[in-house]
Amino acid sequence: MSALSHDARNLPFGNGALLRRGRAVSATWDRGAAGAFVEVLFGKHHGEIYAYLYRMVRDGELAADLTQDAFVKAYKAYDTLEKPENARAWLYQIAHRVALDELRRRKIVRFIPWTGESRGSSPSAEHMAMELRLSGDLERALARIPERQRAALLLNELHDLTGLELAAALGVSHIAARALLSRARGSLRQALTEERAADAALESTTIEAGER
Amino acid sequence: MTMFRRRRPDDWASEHERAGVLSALDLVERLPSSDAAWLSDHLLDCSTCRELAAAYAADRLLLRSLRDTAPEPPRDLWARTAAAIEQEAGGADRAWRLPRIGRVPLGAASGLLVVAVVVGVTLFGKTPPETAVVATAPPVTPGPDATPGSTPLAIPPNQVAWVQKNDLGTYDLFVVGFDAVCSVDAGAECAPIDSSAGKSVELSRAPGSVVLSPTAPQIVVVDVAASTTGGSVFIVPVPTPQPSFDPSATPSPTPIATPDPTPPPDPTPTPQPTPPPSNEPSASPTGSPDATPDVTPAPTPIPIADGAVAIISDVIVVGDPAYSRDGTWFAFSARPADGSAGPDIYVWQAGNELARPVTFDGRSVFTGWIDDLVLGSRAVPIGVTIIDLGPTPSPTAPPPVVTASPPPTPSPATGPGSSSSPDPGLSPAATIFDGVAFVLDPATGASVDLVGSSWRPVVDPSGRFVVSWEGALLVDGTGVGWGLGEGRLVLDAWIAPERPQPPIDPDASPSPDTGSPAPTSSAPAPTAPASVEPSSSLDPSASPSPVVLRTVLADGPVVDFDARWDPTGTRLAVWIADPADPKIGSLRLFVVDPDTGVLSASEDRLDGAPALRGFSLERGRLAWITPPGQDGEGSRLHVVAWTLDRFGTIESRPGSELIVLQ
Repeated sequence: MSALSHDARNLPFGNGALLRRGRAVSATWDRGAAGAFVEVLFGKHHGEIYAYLYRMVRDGELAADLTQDAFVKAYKAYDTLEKPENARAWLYQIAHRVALDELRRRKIVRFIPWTGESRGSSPSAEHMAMELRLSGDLERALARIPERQRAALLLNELHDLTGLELAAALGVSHIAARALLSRARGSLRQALTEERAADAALESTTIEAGER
Repeated sequence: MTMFRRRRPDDWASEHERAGVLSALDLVERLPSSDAAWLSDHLLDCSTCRELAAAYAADRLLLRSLRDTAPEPPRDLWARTAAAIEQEAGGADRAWRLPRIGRVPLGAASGLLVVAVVVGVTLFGKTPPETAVVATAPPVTPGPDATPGSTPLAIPPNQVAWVQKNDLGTYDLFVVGFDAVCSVDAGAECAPIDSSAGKSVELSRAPGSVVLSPTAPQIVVVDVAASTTGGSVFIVPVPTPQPSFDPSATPSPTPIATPDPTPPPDPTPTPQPTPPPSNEPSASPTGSPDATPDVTPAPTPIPIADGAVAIISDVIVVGDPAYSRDGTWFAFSARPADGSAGPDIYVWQAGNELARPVTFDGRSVFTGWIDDLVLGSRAVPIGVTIIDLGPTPSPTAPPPVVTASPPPTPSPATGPGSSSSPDPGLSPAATIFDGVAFVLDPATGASVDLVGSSWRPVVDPSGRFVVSWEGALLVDGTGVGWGLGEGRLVLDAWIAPERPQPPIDPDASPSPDTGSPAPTSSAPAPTAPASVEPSSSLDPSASPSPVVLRTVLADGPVVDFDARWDPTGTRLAVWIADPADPKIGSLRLFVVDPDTGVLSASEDRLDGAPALRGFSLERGRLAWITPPGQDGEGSRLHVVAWTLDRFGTIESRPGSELIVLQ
């Protein structure tokens, strides 16, 4: 792979001009333009949107559903995008709201964990691999911090949203986004410390049990 | 009832709380200078806060490691999404239908749209205006290889300079004008550049890189040994009249007479080590009265054949040297050839005999000029700033001290020329480093650090954008240099720093190499030619940072890179080394929207052209050296040139050891 990445998400000429073209076709909401727009937007950004949602909800299938929801909402909200250059941040804003809505809903609707025997075969390799990814201290610590803080950290550190883009995606002011990020780092630091302490305690217990 | 009140930004429960918040914010964006200074001071005294700041930085690295394990979306996600959108659209009047997706691969469809868009953007004014095409200019003289099939495209007169090894084993400098190029698909039908009349200077030493003075009749030649085992940097006069680089004045190849070689005064010159900077007064950027003319005897310049004079010897030059825009300063970074220390930045002022160091920490590299200020970057252990554990830590030793740069009391061993192990003040555990950029006034030595992670930043001439490496640095194989670790090459907005001010010193201190009091930064800068337009790179009020879509140009791992801007700040060329052979890389050319920093590939017909390290980007043209062909053919100088509506290419004949001049 060439080291010089032509990552489409970072070459916004495609999005921007397509959007401009869409505007030219219709000054108002144009389904054709909206559909074509979302099609290109999906091609460029669905991977990162899925990754963001996956890390927010920690469930692959749910993340796929939410990604789908996000792009449908983008299609419906096409005419609300004022600046084509901001398409990526705008999409993240939609995905962020979708994620928060889902997390809020899950707090209200509590699912009873499945405790019976597995109906099928053992978990798939893909499922195991996903679980493995989530097994680290960091993932667990991330899961412990407040959703908005988690979102701010993920968007900033993993998805390269900064400044006004980050604020737009989070739906807050620039100052608020900074404050959120600052608090998030403190929360993550504390959660990581606690996770590692818990790991150390568990390891110590295991060793003692083995010795007995 | 409890009353809540809004907390003011300066309302902190304790200084430690403030330090914690600022340390976290420091990773988000550049702190205001007052906060940054306060934080630096506080961390100096507070080990707990220092540890917290380092922990934040470590957490950040850990967090970024998740990039390596990005989950893959299910393959049917588009089908599901498209179906949902189609359902949302509903009815028979759908303007957009799912089956279209099935017929045309998504990637291809996107590509076609992108191409259409790029053409549109180019034609309808997204690119900045260019000089009008001079259609009446005669095309470049066809060489003997020309075939009648190629139709040259007239362009505004331009120029390119390069060095090439000749049959006698010496090196010729060519300065050649051209006013026509071939269409990119002309291929072998295109006449090569006729260099027969462009020979200028013959060099007796193998150059590693060559830099042309923008104003004076001279070039700077970095000895090829200065990139491997240790060599010198020479100032080489070129014959007058100085080759004019006003393209409009030189529409055709520019012959320049070969100079009369000046016999060396000393037939067997002994390379003289660079004066060790260990005794330089780096605590005060302006130097102190006891700084060292007595301790460091004034070295004499080393004349070399052909009128060349060495301004430094026995060094390994690191990175790319460059003249300041007005030609009065020349800067580069170098480390001692014996490997005893890491790199420092050196400057040479026109008229002086020797280059002198302006940093003394053994971990600073020169990256470019902003007006008359040096832009550099310094490798620091992961954390906020340098954590100096001291050379001989003991149980009763004071806690680690966070120092600003240059360190107040540098160890004599931290500069080039030292015989002790490099960087003894660093924590032994600190194997991962971060980059801190800074600007430095070469006249006074005063510097200002930029907040945030940045290694080898390259700022565009308009002072709006910067390309830099953001990520970890790793100690390289030499043990005294740094390579790129995990990270990315990023285009972002440039936030102009304040101009560095020397500390107030009522007793004017003599300048180390002139004996005269060091000028303050408010003193008039070296005389600049009238044609040099003042840049606003250091005036935040004059050039507000644009709202830039931060762009990742290359994602790690990257072995090496080179990024350069054209004088308009609207063209950016980026070279990325091939991991298998870092001498060769791929070169791309981008158009940068001056308002948003958005990249367009409208001029990027290069498609990652194979190129040797070192290229030259000027207004309207990009020149580089192609790697030698697999069939034994030599390298060529390859030039692409453009106007608003034309884009063409032209090459030299193949040769060996070509170097394009900056």
